[in-house]
Amino acid sequence: MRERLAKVFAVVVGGVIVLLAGGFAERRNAPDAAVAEVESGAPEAPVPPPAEPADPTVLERGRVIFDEAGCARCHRLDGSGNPRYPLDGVGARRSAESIRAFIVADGDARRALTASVVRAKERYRDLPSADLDALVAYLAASR
Amino acid sequence: MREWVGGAFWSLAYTALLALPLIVLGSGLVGLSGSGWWFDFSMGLGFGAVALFGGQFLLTARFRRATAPFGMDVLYVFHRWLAVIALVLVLAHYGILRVSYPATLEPFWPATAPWYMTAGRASLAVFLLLVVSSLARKALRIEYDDWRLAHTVLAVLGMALAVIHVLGVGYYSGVFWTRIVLDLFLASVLALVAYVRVMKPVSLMTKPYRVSDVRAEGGDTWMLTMEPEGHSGLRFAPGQFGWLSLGCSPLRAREHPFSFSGSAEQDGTLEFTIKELGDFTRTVGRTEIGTVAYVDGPHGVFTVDRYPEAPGFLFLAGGVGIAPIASILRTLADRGDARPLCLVYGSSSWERTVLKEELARLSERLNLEVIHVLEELHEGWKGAVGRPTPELLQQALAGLPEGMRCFMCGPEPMTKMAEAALRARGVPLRRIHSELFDMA
Repeated sequence: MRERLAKVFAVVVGGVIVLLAGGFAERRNAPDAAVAEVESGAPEAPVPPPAEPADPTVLERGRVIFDEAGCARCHRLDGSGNPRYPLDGVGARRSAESIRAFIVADGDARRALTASVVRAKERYRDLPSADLDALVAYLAASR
Repeated sequence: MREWVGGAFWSLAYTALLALPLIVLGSGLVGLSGSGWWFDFSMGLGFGAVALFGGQFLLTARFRRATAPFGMDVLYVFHRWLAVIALVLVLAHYGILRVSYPATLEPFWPATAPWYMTAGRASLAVFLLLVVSSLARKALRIEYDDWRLAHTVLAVLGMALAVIHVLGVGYYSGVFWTRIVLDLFLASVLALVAYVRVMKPVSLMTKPYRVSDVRAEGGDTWMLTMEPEGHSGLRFAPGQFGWLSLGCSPLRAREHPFSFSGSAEQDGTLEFTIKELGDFTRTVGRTEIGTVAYVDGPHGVFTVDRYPEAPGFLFLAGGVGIAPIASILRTLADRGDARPLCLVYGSSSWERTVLKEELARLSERLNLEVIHVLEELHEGWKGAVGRPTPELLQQALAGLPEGMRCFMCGPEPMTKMAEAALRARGVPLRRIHSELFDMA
């Protein structure tokens, strides 16, 4: 009898935790939740679209770098990757220079990021500069 | 009634404590945009599982006041179920990511994966090992002492890895309040481990006992008597138990739970009735007089002292399950209790019946009827043969007043049978008390 009660109570406690986790997900994803915390750092003024479209081969190179460098571990783009820090439309929110600073944790972007994130991002300074340029162009084209 | 209130209070307090990290997390992030329902649900499950595993340290710290309404034995049942549930939550946390967000888990190998993701994976593996090694300890033939040591080490390791994972991933824990709660949580776990493994053993060491007598009883059973050395000894209620460290420091965590079998009215002296069943108990008979011992106790709620108004008692014992009941009977005899009592006592044979002479003496000092049930027939035996049956219990009940309470301790099939039989005869569940036999 007491054993059964202990089992039932364990299930109840587990159930409370699952319900709270569900409530947490529900509140964070309510349709009327304000959009904020999408990215670290101060928001910038909307970035106007570029005068001429970027070179498709550069964009393709940028997409490959995005995959190979493991960006999707922390970032979502075009429906895949980690939804915690989405990069969809980042080109409309940030200038190319700002995007580059966030990739390699430089300047203002460095101050906006936590220490462990800075450590993770510093590795991208080793990217060949043509590859980094392609990655920046690829992200800037997401609008 | 007071017992019920206490139970409800501690249950609610415990649930609230485990829910706290998630509640703070949820309210601290209101108004911030989500990352998708399933992603956030998975994160919530991860936090919840860490809270559940952290709470396990509190459950097994043997705080007497908080465990008193339930009984330590049943808290270990709760501990086991909660561990399984927490493991399921961790697996769900990982499974949701694996299925819906596989990119977050790349790459797998520690050489290239971020350290905090490796910590998370390692934590999952450690908790899996912890649960499997505990539930299947006997099947895997892991010795109790080895298992206990490994259990502590794995539990602390799993918890540490989980916290490293949470802090390293850094989602939500960057928010001020969630960070405070997580830090407090981690500090409490460390404090609990220090309390259970260091402070409590050290305080036990100031109260040593010396073994004064080792006597063979029937049926591979030994009676161990010990006297307090330099202190007045602990006071227990008859039927309670203690964790015994025999011949080694309590710091080594080689302790085993045994019921006190002597009278609670006997000042200071402790007596244990121990059957050779496992790795430790096999060596009990070779204990030398003068061996040092330490006792953490008393624990447990299997005692008639909680029910002074009961008009009589029915006891049911199987094998060495007689130990706590012997303590109750001896105590009642020392107090000159006149209430009607009946003991139904199952043993494998007359030779292996523990404490039979003592029980005969007790039935002269008390208003006690003893019904022995033997599995093996022997010459001249006129009593019951087989195992205790509902009919025998019915016979025992006939001589007891309405409103009596039943205490039983023995193998699970016996207590299950008795519970059903007594309920069928109108004995309410709240008057049936059992001590769970196999806690490990």
